Amino acid sequence: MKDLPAKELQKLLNLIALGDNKAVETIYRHYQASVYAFIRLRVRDDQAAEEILNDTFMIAIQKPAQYNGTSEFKTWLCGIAKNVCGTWMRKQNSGLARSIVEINEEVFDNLPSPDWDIVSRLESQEMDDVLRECIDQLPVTHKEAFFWTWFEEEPMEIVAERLECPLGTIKSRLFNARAKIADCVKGVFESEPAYV
Amino acid sequence: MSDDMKPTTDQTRFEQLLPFYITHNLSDEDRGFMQTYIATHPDAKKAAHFAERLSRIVRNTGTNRNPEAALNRLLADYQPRHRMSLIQRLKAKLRSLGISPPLAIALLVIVGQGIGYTAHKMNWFGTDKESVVSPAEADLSITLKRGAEMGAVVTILEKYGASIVHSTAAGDVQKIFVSIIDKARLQPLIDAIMELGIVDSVAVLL
Repeated sequence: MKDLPAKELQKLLNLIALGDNKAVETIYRHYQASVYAFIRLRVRDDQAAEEILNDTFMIAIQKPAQYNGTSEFKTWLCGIAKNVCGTWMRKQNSGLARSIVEINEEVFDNLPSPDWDIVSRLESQEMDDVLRECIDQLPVTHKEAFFWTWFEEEPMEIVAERLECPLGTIKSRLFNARAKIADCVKGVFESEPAYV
Repeated sequence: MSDDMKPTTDQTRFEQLLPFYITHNLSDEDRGFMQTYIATHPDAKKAAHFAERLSRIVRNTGTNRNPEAALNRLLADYQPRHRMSLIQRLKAKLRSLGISPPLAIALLVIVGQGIGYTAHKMNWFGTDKESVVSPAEADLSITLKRGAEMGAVVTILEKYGASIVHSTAAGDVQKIFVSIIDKARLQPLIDAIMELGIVDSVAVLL
């Protein structure tokens, strides 16, 4: 999702400072899907994601002058969302807020060979639910790489820049995340009782 | 040696590029490599299928929710909290016009000075400098009542050998400055003018 043009965005932010509901609505409609996905991939809880989304926009529209235009507005919103997520996670202080799996950030020295074919073994909806659950269990850093790569569809150089790490780390992070999900899916079905 | 400098096998290169192949974010060369690799490796096809499915799930995050409900809630929360002071509103309005507050203050000062200068030049406030400074040769200043008949005053002045040397008018107030040749007739002149009843005040200029 592309940012609104700078001039239009500035005009909307000025209107928001004057209390214009229509401007709030325009900004919200343009950015909500992206910011919600960013939040939801971090907190693993639909309800909490809605709360955090509301808080994020509330902070942004109450202090629109704090956006100084040096970064993309989307990046600024995600920065606010990240802070609000952090506060929420500290309050939760539970396993829900933490990643369930540990992933080594090593690069491709010893490439494992996951069973990529596992997804073809189940009906679409059932497998999607399992995959979603397995994505939820990844560390935040890996889910964030998914977000910028697949939700925002950004090139690898930009993803690396956003996550402030080398290209190699992004590549290995994306591979390791996929491999862990394949393992997770396999684990889910291996633990199920075999029906004859 | 950085990770990017390491020699990579085709499989490693394939796995590294795959997430960006799905989103069409590869160079022509990398895309060509991926297409060839997928076409010649059955396992690569499965890996690509797996990655595509994951990317679709990530892209669909939140598509089942109702953003309208969240918007209504946001607007409801926004209004009661939105209480800006007059200064904040003024600042916001100026910003919307592309004027920073310091620039606005500077403009205000310049405009104020301009108005003051114009007012001074056009004597808007009726403070004619000349009205308070008497001509050197005048012996009397006479402030006439509003609508006073000048003819009667002139007749009296001629009778006592006096003449008008200067006059000013600020609004409805007319003031004349009078010179008299025989200073001994000054007091009888004042008495005669006061008797006319059309004069507010008479002042002897020293």
